[in-house]
Amino acid sequence: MTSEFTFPKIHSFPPLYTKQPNATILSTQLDSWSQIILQYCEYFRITSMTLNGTVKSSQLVDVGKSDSLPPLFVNNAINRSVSADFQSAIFSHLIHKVKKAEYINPKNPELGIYVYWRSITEWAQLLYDFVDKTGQLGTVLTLYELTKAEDSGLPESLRNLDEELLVKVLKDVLIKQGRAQLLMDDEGGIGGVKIV
Amino acid sequence: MGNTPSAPKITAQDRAIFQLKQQRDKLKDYQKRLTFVIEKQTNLAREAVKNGQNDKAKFYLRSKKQQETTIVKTCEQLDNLEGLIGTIEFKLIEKDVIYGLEQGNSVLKKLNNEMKIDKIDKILDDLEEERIKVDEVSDALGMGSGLSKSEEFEVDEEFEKLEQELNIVEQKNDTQQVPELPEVPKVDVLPEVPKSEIVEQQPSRVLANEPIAS
Repeated sequence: MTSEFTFPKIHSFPPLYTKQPNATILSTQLDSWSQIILQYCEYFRITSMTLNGTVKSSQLVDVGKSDSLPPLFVNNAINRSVSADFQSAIFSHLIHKVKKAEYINPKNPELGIYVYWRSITEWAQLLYDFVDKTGQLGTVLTLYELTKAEDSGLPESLRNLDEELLVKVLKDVLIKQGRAQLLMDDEGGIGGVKIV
Repeated sequence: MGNTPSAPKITAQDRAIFQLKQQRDKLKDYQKRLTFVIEKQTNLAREAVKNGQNDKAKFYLRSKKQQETTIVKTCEQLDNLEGLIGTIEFKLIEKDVIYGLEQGNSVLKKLNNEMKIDKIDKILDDLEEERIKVDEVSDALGMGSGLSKSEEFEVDEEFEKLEQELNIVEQKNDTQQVPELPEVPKVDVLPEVPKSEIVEQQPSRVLANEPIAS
């Protein structure tokens, strides 16, 4: 299924790959790129990316490790690619204007970005609904259980979620709402959560 | 900070279950790893057989067998862990149930204490006494209900009589309903009054000529 993705037509439009001088056109151009990135990430269920547009984590196992994905910023058919400078301009637009992405670590942007084709509030709601529906509110769940375990009845939409993102969802939404509490594992990392 | 909602508390039991679950997760990971190794060794053994390296192939197969038995063992351990987790969780629920029973029991006890039989008897006695007192006072003042019992009885009797009479009258009315009458003719049947004056004959005069006794 990874090869079935087709970029929107505009991805084959050569001027899209050069930063446009006119401010209005540039803004439209950046919007187009943002849309392309969001579609791309949603299709391949990519939750985070490096700053040069390669996959950092995806819910699909074979997306993460293979090079089978069509490249995002390169279009060989028309012999065009986006320069590194322009790439960071696009990401910055996606983060600050469209607000559908965030630096994984704002102090160290090099680490990449989260792409929010599904907002963290929506992620939190999905997670909460799952825990609620399976009668597990108030019990302790390990992060392993919430991401990798095959027999925990996780819905497809949540399976194999990047742990880093999961922790962010827990911290930024559920804990702030007073609906979750984290448990540390022996090494001092976050190992589990209790959702009420 | 005071304005953040209070986080759910992590109890000692939560922690215990959490640790067990972590062990379980580690075992699961270990199983995954072993499965991967087994797959790899099967492939290596196949390669070796193809290349005629029988010793090597046997070595891989032996090692694979060992991994497989390890997996079976880990499965048992996993079962144990899951069982333990289940037992703890169930015990926690039982604890809650017992706590609920205790609470209910104490409330029931309290309520029962408030409703001792002799206490109720006493209250009813008191009530009766007070009522008698009220009656006495009204009697003393000549008020009561105004009439003695026999008088009341008479009133009832009269009332019944009246009621019966009324019933009879009603029944009569029912039977005396007017039978159907012919319709009133719509045309005037009376002859018109003659316009010329008629001299009135005096029948009394004729009568007067007749003998009084006939």
